[in-house]
Amino acid sequence: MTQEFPEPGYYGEYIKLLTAHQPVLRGLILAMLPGNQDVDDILQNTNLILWEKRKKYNWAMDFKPWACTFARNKVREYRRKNVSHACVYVDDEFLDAVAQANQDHSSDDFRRKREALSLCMSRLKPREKDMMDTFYETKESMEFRMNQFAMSAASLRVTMHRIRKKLRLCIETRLAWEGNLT
Amino acid sequence: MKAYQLEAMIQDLVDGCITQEDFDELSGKLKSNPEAMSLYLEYVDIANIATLDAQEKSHFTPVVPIQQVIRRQEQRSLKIAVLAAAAVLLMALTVMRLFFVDVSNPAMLSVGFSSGAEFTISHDSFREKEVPEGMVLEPGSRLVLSYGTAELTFRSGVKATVIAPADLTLHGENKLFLSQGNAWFSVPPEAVGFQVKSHDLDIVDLGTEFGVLADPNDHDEVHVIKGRVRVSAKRVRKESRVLSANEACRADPVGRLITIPSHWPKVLPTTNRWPVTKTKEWYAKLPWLIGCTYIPSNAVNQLEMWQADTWSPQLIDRELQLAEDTEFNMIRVYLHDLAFKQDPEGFLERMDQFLALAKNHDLKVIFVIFDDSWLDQPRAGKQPAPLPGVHNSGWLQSPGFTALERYTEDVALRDRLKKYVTSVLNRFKDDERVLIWDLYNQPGQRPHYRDDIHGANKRSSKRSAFEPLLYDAYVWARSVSPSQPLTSMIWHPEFGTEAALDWADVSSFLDNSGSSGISSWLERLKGHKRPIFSTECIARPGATFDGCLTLLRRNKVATVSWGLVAGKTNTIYPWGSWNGQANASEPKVWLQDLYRQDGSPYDAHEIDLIRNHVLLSQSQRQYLITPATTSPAEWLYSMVAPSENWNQMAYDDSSWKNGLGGFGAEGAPRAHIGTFWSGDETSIWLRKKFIFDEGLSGKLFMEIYHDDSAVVYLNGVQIYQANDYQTEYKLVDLSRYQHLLKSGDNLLSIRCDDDLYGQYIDVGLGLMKEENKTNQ
Repeated sequence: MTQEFPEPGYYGEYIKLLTAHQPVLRGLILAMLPGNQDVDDILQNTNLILWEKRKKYNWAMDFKPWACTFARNKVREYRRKNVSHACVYVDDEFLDAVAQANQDHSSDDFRRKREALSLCMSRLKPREKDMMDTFYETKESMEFRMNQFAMSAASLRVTMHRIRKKLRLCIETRLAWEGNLT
Repeated sequence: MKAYQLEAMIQDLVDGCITQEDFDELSGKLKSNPEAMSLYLEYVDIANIATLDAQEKSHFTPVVPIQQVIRRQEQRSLKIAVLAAAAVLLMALTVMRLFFVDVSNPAMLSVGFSSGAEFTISHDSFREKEVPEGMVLEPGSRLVLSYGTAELTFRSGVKATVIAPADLTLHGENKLFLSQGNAWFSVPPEAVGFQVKSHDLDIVDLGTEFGVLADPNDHDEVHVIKGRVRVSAKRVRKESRVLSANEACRADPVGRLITIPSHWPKVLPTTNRWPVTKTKEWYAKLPWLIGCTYIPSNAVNQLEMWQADTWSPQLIDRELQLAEDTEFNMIRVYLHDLAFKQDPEGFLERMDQFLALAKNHDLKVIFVIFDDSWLDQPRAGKQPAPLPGVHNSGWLQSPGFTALERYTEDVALRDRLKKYVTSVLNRFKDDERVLIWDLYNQPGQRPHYRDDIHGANKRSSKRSAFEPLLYDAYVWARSVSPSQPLTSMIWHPEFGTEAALDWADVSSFLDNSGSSGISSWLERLKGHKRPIFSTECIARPGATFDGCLTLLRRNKVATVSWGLVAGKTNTIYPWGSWNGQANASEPKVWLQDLYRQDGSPYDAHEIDLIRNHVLLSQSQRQYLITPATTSPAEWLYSMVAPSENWNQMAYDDSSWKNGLGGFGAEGAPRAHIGTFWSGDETSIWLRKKFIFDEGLSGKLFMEIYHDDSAVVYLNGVQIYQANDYQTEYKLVDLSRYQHLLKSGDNLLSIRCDDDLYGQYIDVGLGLMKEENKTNQ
């Protein structure tokens, strides 16, 4: 059942929802197309379609699954058009499995995780922190990053692996600890 | 798959650097194992958050806030596509392969690009519609191609190939506006009526294949290859006519159609171009290449070298011995179109003889096909004597500037040159004695005239006259598909030989200004990712071997200097000798060449220096224990803690196991695993006995790669200790422990501990000869 809501009041609410779900949607797209440079473009296209479909949104339903459906479609559409563009070919089953597993990820979970990560980042050694920043903030090439740290691709890879593993374990501990408190 | 391997693979996947094979394996795990999937999503979250944080910090949000999205829908949008590094790599594998083709619902026009192409696509007036994703064009979309080649596929089945520089706009499903560019169209029967417009011409296809040359500064041309087209001029007279196969015409300023010879190539300079990976593999197998341009000392120019009556195999053989003695491994030799024209069979035969002589001296040969340096109007037959003291006073352009000027109009000339190129390449296309084909030396160099020697540079000349021939040379060579790479040099900063860099298999440049000039070319060529040949680089006193070779060798730039034995070319004299500074006595500093005709060197020190660099380029390390990177040594190892004296020669190691060097597991980058060490045991002990002969000289060194901490003993004495991990081999100078080496049996023992995944230990031990002091 779709309901019509009068403009513009509910659009404001819709925009709020859409804005709040940006990181989660981005996460889903990234999980479906790992390592892809066009993640933000696909997110943008998802936003466009979500905006076009605003009148069809059922306010009685949770926003996340509604939005994720469109993100998934955009990912499929993108993948169809860019078969050779991605680093690996991901099949439908993989997309389904990711979407399935992603269902339990709520916006709130994500927010908590983000806070935890920020704490964990502050515990990294300065050089490790620099490397994380450079790795994710620049749109620069791998070559540029390697030069930045005077490292070969292989050593950069392993170093990043180690740092991220450290962060993952730290987040895990942090979240578990918070869980114990409540 | 071990847990740490799974985790490493997951991280690679999130970074987008995983092979399809690994992905397929991992994907199975992720689908079937919820824990693995959840681990994957953890890492995706980390990447996502880190990126979002970074975007916020830099105030850079690629995602436009939603309020703007609403507005943006109504605005014209511009999307600039520059190929991502990964895409470039993929494209390099199949140069003209199409990307972004949606088979089920093809876009009106999809576009693929050659490797290294630079382009922008902009979309106009997409009201109420999304900007198309990927490389597709819709009506109103414009493609500007600044480098490389683009292949267009229309939904209607029309195919087009466009060569940069090009600028085109799609006007409709079957209508294209070509403002600039060199484009070829193939129109299937169902798409008859397809239209191409340029500034000068309207072309309507009547079932055909045709080419269009559009240039805003010139008159546009259409060439019909198959079938028919209707062409109409746009200006005053608006002449219109139907052209059939092998007809071509050009619009003139008043709107008439001028018939011109049709010579549209079916092969492009990039057809069958070697992918970067293939070129790199080819080059990796070669040593550092060094050599010189060669012409026998009794020849004033290429014709005197190759013509039957002055052909001198004995002299060539003798002189090539000098090249061999210099430790050269290649030579660069100029051919000439007239040498072929007057005696095709004899010429090819002499080329074959030459290759045989060169092979006897272990020299690979670079043949140069065309050349724009020095004298215009070459003539076959007896060649004039050199002017005393004048640099290269008899060297001939091939085919010569006068010929270039009429090249596009003169069908016979074009056919003759085509025959020259294709016959030469066909004959030797699979000949391993040929290293590469250098299609054009110094394209755009000014012509010189011997009867006007002092005013030689004054005659004006159109420096771009070489362009059609250079293009054709690649096309002809590509049509032969030689097994050797093609190149042509970039040498002048101001005019366009750049385009050819996108056609060549290996990059090459000429620079006679010394090492700073060379480094700037290297910087410029780096982006092409292909092996680099410096096809002319030495000119004393400014550009010397001493000043240039270190840079060239370290960058593995194939290096060619000009001239071997000083002779009739007079290239020992400065270039200024053309401008009235001729002096017949031998100059104190030779500009070029290495040896006198009696075989003695101009500068013996220089020859030593060259040989030294060749040596340096070869292995300078003599191993006592080889590292796994060369050939893995056999070690004794234990993963059980041994008794205290395990690092002593006397220790009984009979219970230890035998294993090949390189102990570890995948996960350590660039590891050469000889024996699997899973890391379940956190420590490993290694022993290796080796023999040292006191006759060996050089500094003791060690190459070591440990992950994590390691301690190394030589004959029971600790010589190295480190608590951190490495991610590649490092070189350790052990000369202060040299005294520990004993004649006869010696023992190297190592303990390595690992605390995280990525464990690896390997050591090579050896003696290194010192680099010659002249090489810094």
